[in-house]
Amino acid sequence: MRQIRPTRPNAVVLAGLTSALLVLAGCSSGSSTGAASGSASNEKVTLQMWSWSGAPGKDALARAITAYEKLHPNVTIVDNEVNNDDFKAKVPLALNSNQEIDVLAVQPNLFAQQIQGKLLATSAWTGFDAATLGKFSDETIAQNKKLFTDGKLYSIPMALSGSAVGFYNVDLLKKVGAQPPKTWADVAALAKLLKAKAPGVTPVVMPSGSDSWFLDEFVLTLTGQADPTFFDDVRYKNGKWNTPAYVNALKAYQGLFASGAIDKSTSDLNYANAMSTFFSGKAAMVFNGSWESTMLSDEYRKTNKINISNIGVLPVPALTDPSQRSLRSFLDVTLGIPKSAKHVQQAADFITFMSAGAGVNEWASTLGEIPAVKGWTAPAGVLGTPEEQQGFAEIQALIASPHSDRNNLSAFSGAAGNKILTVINGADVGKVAAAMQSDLDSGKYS
Amino acid sequence: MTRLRDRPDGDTTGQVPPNQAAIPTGPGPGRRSRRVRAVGRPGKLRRRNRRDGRTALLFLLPLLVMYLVYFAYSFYFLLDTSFTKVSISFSNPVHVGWHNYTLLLKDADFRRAILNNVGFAVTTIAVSLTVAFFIATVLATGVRAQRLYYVIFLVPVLMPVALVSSVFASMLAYTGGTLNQALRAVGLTGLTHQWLTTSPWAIASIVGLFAYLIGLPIMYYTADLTTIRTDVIEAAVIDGAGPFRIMRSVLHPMMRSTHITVVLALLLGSFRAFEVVFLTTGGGPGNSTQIVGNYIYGFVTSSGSTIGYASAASVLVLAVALLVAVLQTMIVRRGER
Repeated sequence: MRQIRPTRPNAVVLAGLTSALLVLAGCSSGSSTGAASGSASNEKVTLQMWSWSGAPGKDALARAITAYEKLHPNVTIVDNEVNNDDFKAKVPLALNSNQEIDVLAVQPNLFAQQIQGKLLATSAWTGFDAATLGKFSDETIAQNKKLFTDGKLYSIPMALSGSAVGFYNVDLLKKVGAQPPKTWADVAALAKLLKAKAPGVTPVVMPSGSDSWFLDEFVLTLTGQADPTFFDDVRYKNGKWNTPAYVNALKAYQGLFASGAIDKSTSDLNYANAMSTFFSGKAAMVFNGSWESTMLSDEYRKTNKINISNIGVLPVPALTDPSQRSLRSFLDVTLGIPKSAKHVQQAADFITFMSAGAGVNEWASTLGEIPAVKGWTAPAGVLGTPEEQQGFAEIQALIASPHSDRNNLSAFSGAAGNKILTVINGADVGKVAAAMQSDLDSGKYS
Repeated sequence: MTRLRDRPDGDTTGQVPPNQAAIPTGPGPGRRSRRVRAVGRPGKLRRRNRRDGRTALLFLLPLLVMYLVYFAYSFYFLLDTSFTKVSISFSNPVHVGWHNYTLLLKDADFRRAILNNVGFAVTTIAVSLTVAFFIATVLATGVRAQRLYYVIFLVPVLMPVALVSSVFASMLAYTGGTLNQALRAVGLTGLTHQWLTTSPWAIASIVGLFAYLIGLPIMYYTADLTTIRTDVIEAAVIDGAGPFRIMRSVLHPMMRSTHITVVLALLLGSFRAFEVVFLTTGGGPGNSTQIVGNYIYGFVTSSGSTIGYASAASVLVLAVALLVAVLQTMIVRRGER
């Protein structure tokens, strides 16, 4: 049979065209972000904001943006929320390619140092009133300065968080006739009480299992209660990890399972399961971070079909002395202006509105993030019961006077958490702490 | 056993199909005559080959460009980064020579992750070469509700691994997990365990999850079984071989090429089984279930200057995977000789 073959010139032209089209297609994906506009006060301006999911969340941010746009009809703010897991990777690439970002949520950890060179110092923010900084506590400003290598401010605080903190089911504790525990001995007693009066209800849950990073947070809270300088020594002064205080905290944590204060059967609960166990009334208390304070809002509970009518807050109980109860806290969200920003003056004004102005009430009423501005109280109606009102105030007080900074060591937290899981199963605490020290000394996490 | 599917072309006689016979497989007369003709006009053939080569190159060019951009450059970038200390911003990298590699080779956690990877892969391979092969063979005999069984074994493979892993994690939970609840229901409370957070059981759980995903090997074997000549089976039956004997001594050796495919696919696939570990044990307790994917993930998502270290780990993993593939190929070739 005769084969139909393309003539050679046709084949060459076809192949050439295909190559050219593909190359053109590959090259045409980029697009301009729009021309720079001036900064005259009544000129239409569009601010590009980049934040990560949950800081403080799309809905909360949308409320604040709407409020700002009402006050400034010539300003439009586009919120580009990036998934939390992708934020660290996407932002540096965007900044390196000079993408227009006017307002950037800066994560308060090593990330801040990594992008420091791409940020404008607050002293260079056109129209920024330096008196705004006086609306934050000295401690908060000091924490913000620690984020950067030269002691200058390149972002200003927006929200704080702390960990670990406890939330308890008020009605359940009342039902069995117990008070919120102040020490772990109280928790062990509560466990016995629950066994007798509310079988099937476990005293304590917290994220563990595949979310064992929280165990690192928890043991660091116990350590800090006994030795408030421990974490800051490790974080800022190259101090040792396997100190007697840390080893004792690990041992005490191991002992909590032996005493029955924590049921070993809860050690495989991941984040979601720990929370759902508490929300379904099968646990009297849940330990987590202050970011879970959203559960104090009745509206949040209704929306998420959580059938608990009253939730209280308690610090992580002390091993012996209740006056030692405290936590680690740090900045959770800060706001900065990249050097590539087109509208610095408007960005600075919006940041002031969000961090220390009327915008705070808009985004903070969901309670997930604790405003960094001094003296903020939740708007009326957000917190229903006296326990919830006291609880939120308790969280604010704990965050305001931490035993150390919650300026985590990133990947090391996850690795440490996995090692702490072995402690629950009876591993030698001294060896576990030594292994963590060895990990830190190796330099692979820095 | 003798109901093994006939060849799709209906040939059950054992004769070589006519179309195969027409293909010259050795230095027969047809091949020789073509060569003689070609030798007779060497210049013309060379010119033609050159022109054809240019045309082929033009057609290949787009793919070649894409390959160079997306694969070769990516690998170069990875290799280059592996010699630096740099964060995810990739700004101000500091050249550290072989430091990252030295750190990795000294790191017991990394070595453990590699060993776990290989261990999980070997176990899955063992299960596939035996259980998956057995299931595929039994299903090929035309058992009742054959399609239902195919669905049962193949659906897990068709579903996202993340979903299967999450379901497994939920089933293996201590308090509300289906497995422990079932054990309690039949009075075997003593057999309940913390499947995901105690070391030996966490490893067993991951192995079980890997083994559960044997649908792919079953598919490979099923496809190969349809090409097996039934006259071979008939001969074995006439010689008095039972079903298991036929499986072990006839079918299993005849599927050599499929075994190789299965071994390679599972071995290399184990390096990409990130979700399996991430969504079940998170690599713990300790590092008992850590695999390299999870190990590297921890450093990539870190906010420290750990991208160079993670890149070096990726390069080493690639080297190990290549080594495995080369060893595998060598073993296969030796076997063929």
